[in-house]
Amino acid sequence: MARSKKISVDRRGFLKGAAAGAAALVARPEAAKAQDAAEVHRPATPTPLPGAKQTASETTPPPHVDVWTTDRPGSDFMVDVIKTLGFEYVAANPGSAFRGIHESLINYGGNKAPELLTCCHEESSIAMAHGYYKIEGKPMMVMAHGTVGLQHASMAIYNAYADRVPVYLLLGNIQDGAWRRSDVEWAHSVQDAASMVRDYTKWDDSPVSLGGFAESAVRAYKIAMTPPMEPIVIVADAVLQEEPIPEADRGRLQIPKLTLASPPAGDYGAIKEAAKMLVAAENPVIVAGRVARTPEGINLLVQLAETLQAPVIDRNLRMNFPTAHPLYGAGTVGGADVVLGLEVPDMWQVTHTQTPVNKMGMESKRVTKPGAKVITIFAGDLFGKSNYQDFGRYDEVDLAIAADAQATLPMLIDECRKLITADRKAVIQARAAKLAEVSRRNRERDIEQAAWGWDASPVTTARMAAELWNQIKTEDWSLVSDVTFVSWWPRRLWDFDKPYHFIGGHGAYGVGYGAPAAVGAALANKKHGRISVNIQCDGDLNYAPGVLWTAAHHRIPMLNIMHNNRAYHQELMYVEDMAARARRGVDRAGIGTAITDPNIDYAMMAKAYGMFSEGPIENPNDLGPAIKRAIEVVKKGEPAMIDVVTQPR
Amino acid sequence: MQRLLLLALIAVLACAQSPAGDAKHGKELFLSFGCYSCHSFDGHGGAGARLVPMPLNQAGFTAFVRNAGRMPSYSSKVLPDEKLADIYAYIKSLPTSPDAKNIPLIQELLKEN
Repeated sequence: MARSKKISVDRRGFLKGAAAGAAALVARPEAAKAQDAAEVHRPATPTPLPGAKQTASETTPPPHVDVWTTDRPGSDFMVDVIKTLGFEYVAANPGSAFRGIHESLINYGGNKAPELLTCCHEESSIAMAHGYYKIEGKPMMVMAHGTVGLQHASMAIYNAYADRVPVYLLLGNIQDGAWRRSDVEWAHSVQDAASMVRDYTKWDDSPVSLGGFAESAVRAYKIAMTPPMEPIVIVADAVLQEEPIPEADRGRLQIPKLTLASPPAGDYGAIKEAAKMLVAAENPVIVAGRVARTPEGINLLVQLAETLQAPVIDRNLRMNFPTAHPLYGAGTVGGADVVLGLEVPDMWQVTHTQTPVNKMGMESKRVTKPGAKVITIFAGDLFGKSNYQDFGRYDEVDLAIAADAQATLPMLIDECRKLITADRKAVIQARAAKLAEVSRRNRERDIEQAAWGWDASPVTTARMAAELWNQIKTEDWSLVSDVTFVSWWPRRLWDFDKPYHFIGGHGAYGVGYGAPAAVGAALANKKHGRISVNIQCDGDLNYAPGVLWTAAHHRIPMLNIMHNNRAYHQELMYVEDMAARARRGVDRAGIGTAITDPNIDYAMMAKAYGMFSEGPIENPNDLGPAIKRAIEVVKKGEPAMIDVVTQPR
Repeated sequence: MQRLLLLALIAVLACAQSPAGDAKHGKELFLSFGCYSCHSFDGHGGAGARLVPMPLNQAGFTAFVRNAGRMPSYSSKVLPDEKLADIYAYIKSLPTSPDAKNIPLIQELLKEN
């Protein structure tokens, strides 16, 4: 109540000339009551034309002006703060709890930097920000209700958290119960909004003044962008948004300068020890997780691999290493005497076999050779939470460097170079030709396997990838989708060498990420004129297909190729596993997993959302020409979809 | 290796008593029992191994399915020998893939390699 009193006093000060300010504040309810009474006693007969008195009352300024407007709401200052952080876009499904900022963004802020993106679901908003970051390298802002919006958004936030992606989430909330106007506002208010996602965000705050908002907003950006990067939450109180900036604050409100923290590099002694082990190794192997944060990360990883002539096993979490490089995939963890894990979130899984789902019990075994050494450089060692268990099993390693890998690589490369004597250089160079041959044969094997089922209908995922590559290889392209559910074919057939060629995957395998992340990534590619390619799983799209409308509405050019296998296919296989284990009803595994009867017409769905589309395509020979036509649409700046009925994987 | 030898032995011993399968019924079973989900509708592989061309004889195939490695093991209660024979007959009837040498896109990819 004390706060309400303060604000009403400040407001009276702000309303210059309203001599009876306090009276005005109470006058409205009386007027409203009178109006209500008039409504109740409205006559059943037609209302007669207004008389002279009534006409005069509606055309003459009233003697007392009750000012209910302001030219300086608190949300304008919030927009001032937001603009200093350099967001290009803010994604949101509209919500009353942040209506003040919404209005300020589009009018006071001119709907530029950031520009508002209309989203049909908060999960889409967050996943769009997730995909956008992985191309642009900086966060997108998202706005949502502190209650119902955040509930929608929460799975996508968990994906971003597990994928080490900074998402800047601003929640609206009415903290003070005395300011809630209706049952809707009560239902949409919460004591501690961020608590719902605190287990999988890095930091949050609920500032109670505009000055506090400015400081927390800038601090949140810094925290989100310091490796390990993670989503953050700022709660913007609706009263602060909607009430005028207090007169007393106007001269003293400040926006702090943003200074990003340098990413943490490894301890020098530990780096020297790692270099010693790597240079002395006969068969070192590098395992790449989320290594490259910037284009320089790719260059550094290439330098390290070439310095050591160490094969790189890429976990497909980021664009880390060129797929046509002679060291790409040219070794195994089992064959190594030193394994270097760079930003690998689950090293245990790298060093052990995985127990098949169809087996009773656990039977994982360590795959590293006896005596092999394991080194990790992992920013995840600097930050962790316990409730959600995305961190994996504890792995026994020989040297763990708690640091950001990309920031550590320059020192590690230097130390390795210092230690390479002429003898070691000869040994290292001797393995180069062998590794190049392994890599070439791997690639050749993959290409030849792409021929399997070439003419089959439904279309094989290998053929789909080959047909796509044939159309995009001379373009400036960007794959804005994961590859797990299409048997990694694009990574096996295409030449990935630019930072934007690949964005990795979900983070936490939360399905529903794919379509909106692709739209966000394609948006980041838009200003560069790149052809964004999204291989879109059918089950994923059905979570929130409204993102197709967002892509069409905002003219986001992207080629969507439906991987329409008509099932939640991973789950179908799991249920088959369970049924076979239980020795019953394997033929019933499609219950609850198949997406058939009726089949979904995705081309029609895309058309309904205003997107060019073709399909469903079942004859593989029809695919190439259809892709060509769709790319012509994309080149004109529009999204397009080709629905391809595909083999399961 | 020991596992393969065992499967081969079982295959040889069982070969004489393997029932001949019905490919048409085998197709129905291939679909209803979800074989396609890992091996694709035409048996060309996916999450699971390539089945076409089938490297095992019928007895070896049956022995493998009963006690598989990474794929689910189908007991005779779930899939009796007669049904497996039908599935085997269907797999054997599936067309093989075209030769990679006759696919221009594959040849282009090989040239780029």
